Amino acid sequence: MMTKREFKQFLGVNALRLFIAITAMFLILFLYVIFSKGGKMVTWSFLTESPRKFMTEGGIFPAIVGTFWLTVISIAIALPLGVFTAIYMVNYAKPAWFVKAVRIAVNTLAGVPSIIYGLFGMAVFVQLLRMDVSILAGSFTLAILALPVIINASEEALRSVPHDFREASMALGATERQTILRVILPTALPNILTGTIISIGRVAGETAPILFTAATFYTRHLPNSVMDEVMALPYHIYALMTEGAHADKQVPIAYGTAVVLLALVLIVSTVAIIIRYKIRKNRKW
Amino acid sequence: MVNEKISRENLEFAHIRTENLNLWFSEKQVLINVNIPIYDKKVTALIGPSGCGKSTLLRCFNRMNDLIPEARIKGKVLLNEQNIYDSRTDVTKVRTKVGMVFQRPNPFPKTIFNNIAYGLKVRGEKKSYIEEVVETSLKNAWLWDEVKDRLNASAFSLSGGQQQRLCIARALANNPDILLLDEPTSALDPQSTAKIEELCLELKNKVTILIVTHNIAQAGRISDYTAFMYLGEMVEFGATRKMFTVPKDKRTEAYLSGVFG
Repeated sequence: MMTKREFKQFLGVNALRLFIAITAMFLILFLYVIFSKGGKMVTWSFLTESPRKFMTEGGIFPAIVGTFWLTVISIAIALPLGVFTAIYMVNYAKPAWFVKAVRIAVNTLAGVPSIIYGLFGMAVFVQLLRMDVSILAGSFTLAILALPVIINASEEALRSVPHDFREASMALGATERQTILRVILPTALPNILTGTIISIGRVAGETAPILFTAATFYTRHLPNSVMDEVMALPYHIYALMTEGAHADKQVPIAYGTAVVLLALVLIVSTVAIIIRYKIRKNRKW
Repeated sequence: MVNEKISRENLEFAHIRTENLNLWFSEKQVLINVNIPIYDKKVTALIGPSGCGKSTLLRCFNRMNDLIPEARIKGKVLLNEQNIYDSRTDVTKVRTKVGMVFQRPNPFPKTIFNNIAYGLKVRGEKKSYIEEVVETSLKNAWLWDEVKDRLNASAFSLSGGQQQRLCIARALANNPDILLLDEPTSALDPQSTAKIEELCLELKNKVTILIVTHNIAQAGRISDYTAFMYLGEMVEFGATRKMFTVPKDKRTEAYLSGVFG
């Protein structure tokens, strides 16, 4: 016989098991639906060809290229900006209320709906700075979207570096700048990369911010420069589902595109995780 | 009063000394009018109960208290008769001349080689010179034989005692005149502790050593001079053998005999 306390324990643990099962079920169901509907669409020609006949045939190659460049350029903008902001906040920013104010601003930015980033990007980058609808304008807009996540992750990573390292470095005659660049930043790097990985997934999958700043509905050409407009995977899905007259042909292509987008994010994340693992291997404390 | 007399008498021998040193953390006074001489090529031990200010005093000698924004200092710390708290002082130079080893071994998350080379690299020394100094420093810290085949391994692959000797080697690589040790063995096992104590006795031929310890027996084993601190004041300073046999102050006597601690 179970005592009352044992019974409660039994009940509690099994409730947790149930919740885990539900969560896992959603994930499995999610992957199943996407892959079963779109998996068979993904063929070599689907990946390497341009769309034909108003998106009812052909592949999605221009959208893959577009999403690749938007993601790479926006992270290339946001990563240094975010890391250096975090370094300033952690090491130099004074007084405390200023740091707090900046943090509130950053967190507010993180909570802004992405469509508003799209409008902002259009007003500032496309119109004011005359970038037109282009990879560059879209990348800047996405970079601003990714910035809060990267700043927060970097700040936390920098603060979690043991104080011992800082003291050891200063005691050896290093300046504050040398201490930050040679000890604190390298130590914090794996955790900064974690934040970056999260942003890569977010940036690659966002539709609204590029809606008015970078994406084009349909093109058979690849971009020649960062000033060109491009197709992008998430926007391509949106376009396939809302435009055109051949839903029967377009919907399977949309699911196929979703599979490719998921795979792309997964591949980028895996590469980043491998890099992080290699850096971390020699840095245990 | 006792302190002042000593510092005046031995002024010419003191490698580094303090002159009426006071230190506050915000409103709380942690050091009160401390006068202490640290003699050249000797081991001086700082003892006293927890919170007496001995670590804080130690950190005045390489200006590590600068890292604490609430810290405020009045008085002088004279290194070769130059006040290191003078506004014209280059702090990084002071910290190169006055090396420090901390309570907990704190190697960088880098290779063994790069840990030792760090101080030299930040000063932009030549590669060939760095390689030479890394070897001699590791030899001087009695670590060379244990690590010579794996200089590119992570410093965290070493044992606690080895890590602490690595930290000593790292400080020695800067060729310091003075080595500050802040309870360097309190996180180590007895064997590693014994090795570090022996090492101190060997090193005092090359550098002046100032060691903070909460272990009275350790102070007795390795130090030539001992300073007893209590509630921010330096109660007594003298030759270790003399102080341990006939302490002048009642509080010293009580502490040494284990009445409080």
